[in-house]
Amino acid sequence: MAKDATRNLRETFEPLTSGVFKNNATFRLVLGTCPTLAVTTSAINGLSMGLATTFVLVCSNAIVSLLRNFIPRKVRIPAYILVIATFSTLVQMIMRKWLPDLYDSLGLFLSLVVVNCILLARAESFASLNPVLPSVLDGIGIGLGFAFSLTLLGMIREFLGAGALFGYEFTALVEAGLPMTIFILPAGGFLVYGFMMVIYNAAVKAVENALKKRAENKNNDNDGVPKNKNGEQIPLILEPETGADAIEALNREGGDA
Amino acid sequence: MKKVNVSKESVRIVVCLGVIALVASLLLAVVNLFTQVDEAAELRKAIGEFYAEAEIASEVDLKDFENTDGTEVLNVFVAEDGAYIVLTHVAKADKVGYNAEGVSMLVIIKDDEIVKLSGYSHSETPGLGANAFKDKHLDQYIGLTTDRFDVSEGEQIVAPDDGYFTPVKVTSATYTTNAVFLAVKASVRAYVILTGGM
Repeated sequence: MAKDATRNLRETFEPLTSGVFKNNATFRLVLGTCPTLAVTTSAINGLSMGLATTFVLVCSNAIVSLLRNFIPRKVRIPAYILVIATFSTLVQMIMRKWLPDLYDSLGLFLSLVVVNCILLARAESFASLNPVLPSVLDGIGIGLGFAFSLTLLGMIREFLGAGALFGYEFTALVEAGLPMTIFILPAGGFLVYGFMMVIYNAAVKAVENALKKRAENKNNDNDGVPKNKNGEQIPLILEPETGADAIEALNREGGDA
Repeated sequence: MKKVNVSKESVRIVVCLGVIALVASLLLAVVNLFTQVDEAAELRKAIGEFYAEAEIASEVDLKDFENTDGTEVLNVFVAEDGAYIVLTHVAKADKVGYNAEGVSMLVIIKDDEIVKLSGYSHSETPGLGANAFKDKHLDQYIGLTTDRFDVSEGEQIVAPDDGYFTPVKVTSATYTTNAVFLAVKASVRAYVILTGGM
C-alpha cells in the first residue's frame, strides 16, 4: 500500500524532474534556440527570460489541460496560441510596469515568447493529454530547465565576453583586457551553446549510467538472488563437486541415476 | 429562401474560440488597469532622481519645433535653476548596417554647458553596445560648451580637425557611440534654438 503510494507520488512528480534534467528543453530537446542565443548575452537577461517563459508555460499548460475536452480538435492550435498569447502579453504588461530596464533589454524577444516552440510543444504533446496537476508540474519542470540553461549560458557568455556576472563587473579582468567580445556576439553564442550541449549530454548520460548500475546492484542485493536488469531472476546452476554428490542429489529427488 | 446548413461542429468551434478570446480580453483589460504606465509621470520621476539639484519649473511646448533627420526631441523641461533638461530619441544613427535604433538620452544643459547626461532608454547588448552609456564614456561630454557642436548640420557626424567636438568611440560599439553623440548634438541644437541662439 505504502509502496503504491510512493510509486504514484513518484509518477506524479516525474514530469517535474525530467523537465529540468532528462528532457531539458535547451540542451536535450534543442527547443527555443532563437531566444536562447539572442538573450543570453548576460546572466540576468537569461534568468528573466527563463522565468518569464516558465510563468507562461505553467499557466498555459494549466489552462490547456483544463480545456482539453472543450477545445475541438480541429482548432486546437489556434486555441493554444490564443491562451499562450494571453499569458505572454500579461508578462509583458507586468515587466513593463515593474521591471522597465529588463523589459527594454529583452525587447522583441519578450513578445516572441508566444511563438516559442517549447510552449506549443508542451501544450500539444503533454497538457492536452494529461490532467491539470501533471501538466502544471511539466510546465514548472520544463520552464525551470529552460531558465537554468539560459542563466548558465548567460553567465558563461557575460563572464567571458564582458568580464562580469549578473551585472557585477570584475574590474581587474576588464582592465587586464581579458574579456573576449566574441562571446557576446552571435558567433560566441553558438560556440558556447554547442560546447554546453556536449558537456550537458555527456554528464546526463554518465549520471543515467551510474543510476542504472546502482539500480542493478540494488536488485541483486535485495534478496540475495541475482537478477538481471529487468528484475528477472538469473537461474543458478550448481555444479556438484563429485560424481557421488550428483548421484546422492538425484536419489534425494527420487530420480534415476 | 435557401436554408443555411450550419453543422453542430462549426457552432462548437465558434463558441470555443469566442469564449477563450472573451475571457482573454477581460483578463488583459483587468491587468492593464493595474499595470498601465503613465510615461509622463515616469519621466518626471526619472528626471527628479537624475537631477536632484533643482525641481522642474516648466515644460517647453515643442509643437513648432523642427527635428533633424534621424533624431526627435521628445521633451524639454526647464528647471528652477535655469537648466534645460532635454530628452532626445535617436531613430537612426547611420544609414547602413546596424543602426543603434531606439536610443534615448537625457541631457542637462545649463549656462551653455553640458552639466549631466545619461542614457534614458535603450536595448543595447550588455557588455557591448551598452558600454556606450557608461560614465567613463559619457564623461567626455561633461563641461563641453554648446559652441563645440555644429548644430547647423543635421545628422552628419563631424570630422575631426574642424574645431568641433568628436567623441572617442567605444570599441565594438561604434553605432551606439554615434547614436549617443547624435542625441547629445540634437539636445544641444534644441537648447540653442529654444534659448534664442539660432
